[in-house]
Amino acid sequence: MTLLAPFADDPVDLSAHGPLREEVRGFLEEERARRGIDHWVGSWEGFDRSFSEALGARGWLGMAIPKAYGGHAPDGPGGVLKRYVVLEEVLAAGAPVACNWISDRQSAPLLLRFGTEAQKQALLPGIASGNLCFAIGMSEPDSGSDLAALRTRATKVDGGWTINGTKVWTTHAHLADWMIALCRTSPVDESDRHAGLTQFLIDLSAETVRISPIINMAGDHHFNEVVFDDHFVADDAVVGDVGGGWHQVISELAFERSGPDRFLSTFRLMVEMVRAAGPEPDRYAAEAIGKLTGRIWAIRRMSLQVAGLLEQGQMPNVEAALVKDLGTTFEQSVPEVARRVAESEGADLSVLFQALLDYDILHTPSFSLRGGTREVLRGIIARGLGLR
Amino acid sequence: MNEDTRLLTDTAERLLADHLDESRPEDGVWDAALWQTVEEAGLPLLLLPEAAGGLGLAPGDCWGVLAALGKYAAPAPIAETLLAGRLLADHGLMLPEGPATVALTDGPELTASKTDDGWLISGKVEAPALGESQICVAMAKAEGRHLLCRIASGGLAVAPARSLSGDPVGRIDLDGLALPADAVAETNDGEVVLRQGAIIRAVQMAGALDAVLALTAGYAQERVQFGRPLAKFQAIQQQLAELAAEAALATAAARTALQYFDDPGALFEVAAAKSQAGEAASRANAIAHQVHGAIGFTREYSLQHLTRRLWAWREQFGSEAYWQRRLGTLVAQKGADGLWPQLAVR
Ligand SMILES: Cc1cc2nc3c(=O)[nH]c(=O)nc-3n(C[C@H](O)[C@H](O)[C@H](O)COP(=O)(O)OP(=O)(O)OC[C@H]3O[C@@H](n4cnc5c(N)ncnc54)[C@H](O)[C@@H]3O)c2cc1C
Repeated sequence: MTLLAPFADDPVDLSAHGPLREEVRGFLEEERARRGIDHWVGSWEGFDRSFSEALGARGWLGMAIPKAYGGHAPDGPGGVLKRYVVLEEVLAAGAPVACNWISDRQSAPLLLRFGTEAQKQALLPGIASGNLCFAIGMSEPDSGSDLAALRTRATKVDGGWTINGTKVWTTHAHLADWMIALCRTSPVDESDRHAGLTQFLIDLSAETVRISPIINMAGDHHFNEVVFDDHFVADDAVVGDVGGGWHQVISELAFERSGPDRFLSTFRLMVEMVRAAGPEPDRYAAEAIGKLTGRIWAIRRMSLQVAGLLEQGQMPNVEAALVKDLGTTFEQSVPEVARRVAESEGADLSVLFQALLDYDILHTPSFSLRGGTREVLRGIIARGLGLR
Repeated sequence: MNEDTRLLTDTAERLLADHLDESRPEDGVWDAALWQTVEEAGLPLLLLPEAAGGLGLAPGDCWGVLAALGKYAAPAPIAETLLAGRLLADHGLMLPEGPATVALTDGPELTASKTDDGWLISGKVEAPALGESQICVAMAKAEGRHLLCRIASGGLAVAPARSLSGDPVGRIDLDGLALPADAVAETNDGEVVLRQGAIIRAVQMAGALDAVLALTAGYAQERVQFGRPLAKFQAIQQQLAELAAEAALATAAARTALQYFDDPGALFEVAAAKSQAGEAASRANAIAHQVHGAIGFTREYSLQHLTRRLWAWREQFGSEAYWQRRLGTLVAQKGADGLWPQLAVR
């Protein structure tokens, strides 16, 4: 079965990047100490612009952006895997990377592939330095999994476009500088629902863009509603081709589905669970820890194989969906296991353990929704198997 | 995979497919013709170093052939012979011709005591195809020393049994069996049989999962109900996607573990790979049978060759519970802050 072939290839091995890994670990420890923080909670949902700028200053953002645009992509191969090392170290530490996460993971590759020269010049250096934050403008009130049903309209006017409509669930729109919004630029053609969609760059500080908070069930202000009220953008705000938005969005999603962010969201809890169980866990706790450890190890091995394909310039959409499906299911299982380990013989629960457990229980439902639901991913896999 | 190993894999696959599509023995019956075919093709020598008459391939290069043994549910101790030969060669012991096997282990070891010209071995041995093999490789312990033993099992009174897969498993109770000095080698690595056995099984399981996926996806496209192929029902698609994910996970895990076949320090990787192969097999088998309906529950249909072996192999060289307990203990000993460095070591 060709779908499995990349996972049977020679294993990707990151041990050559040991020195970089050590450097990142040292940096993270320094940053924590400097900020007087014992432990980070919240992983890539934590927003801290100054932390992202510190990452950028070290050259650890924009590792896939060419030097000509302020990035650090190597001229030869090796870039994807080096970047992977940085990403997984930062995530495993639970560092607050939300400000740079979306822009570095998907906006930059999107702009690199489809943006105009002027857009690249204007935006990529800011992404690489960690002080430009992007939001994703896809979902709408009546358009979730069925993205092509979106209704936000961009109408051609003299010198540009007028945008009207509503985006929802927009992560950190209230803190971000730019949004890349997918809009309808010609009426729905029922024979090709994916036609007539276009991506636009939106300056989120404009007055005709109204951003209001949507408080999530954990009580955080994470996502937003964003309303465009006769919002004018000039012609140079179009990203890629007018009418070519669907294809661009699909390739954008491929960047976001196989990385370590898809299995490390609850890793800090796993660490504190091991601490709580102590050096001599009872039989139940030992098995539970071993089960989670084996699983995350294997998912990481898969994720690395996909990174190997990305390194070769391939677009492994289906393979990435496999990783994300397993990864998010794993992340969601961690708090459930931790609750039981907490009741094992001799478990010693810290305040941090309890805080992480509460945080994760309240956030796990979102893991298999954001960036494409579990059912949508499995649909992609089924297509890869030739079933649909 | 380079050209040579691809060729080797193709040859092994063709040979197994040709033989097994035509005839498959009843449970527990020795398939002499299959054995002869694979022996003539040199498969049992694959893992041997050149000095011992093998091809000197790195274990990772043998992936395709080892996985094919699972993919075609080969009903003969080919993997066991490969492993036995490699273990003997690595410890400077001779490998006789013919089928060989390896003691299934994760439990108490055999004990040995020194005599003037060799060793006396006592304890229980359980091994695949023990009654059909010339020799069996097993670990024994003598006053804290680890011994790798070549037991000539040909003449011994083996109690025959069958595993869940229908493949023969034999048991003997040794009570001071005399082994000559040249059948025993001392080693520092008391878990080499367990570790390498677990890796080989994990690879076979990945191969079998690959075949379960192909068979089940293929069946869903052919079988029509309510006027449509099963594959067009979303409930079926979602299950097959999950099956594919489990098979991919077991593949990545086993392939990585195979890379560390010769590394005594790779207990972490082995524990993770074998236990995850078991987890994947449990889920995959359940899905495959559900999607197949009643036909998959028959002796006649080929799914059971794969699923029964997966269930049997789950238990051999350490079950999920066994390896998860060991892995969890290992993690606990290194402490919470050692978890990430262990996971991200390569
Ligand atoms: C924390 C968080 C952050 C987010 N951030 C952003 C963001 O920054 N930008 C953005 O654009 N969006 C964002 N989203 C939105 C996210 O992309 C959507 O939630 C997702 O695409 C699903 O859409 P929906 O919520 O409308 O659910 P629906 O599409 O209504 O789905 C509800 C349920 O029905 C299932 N379902 C739907 N269609 C089918 C089908 N054909 N077959 C089977 N099952 C189906 C789904 O899988 C799901 O289980 C975010 C979501 C969350 C939870």
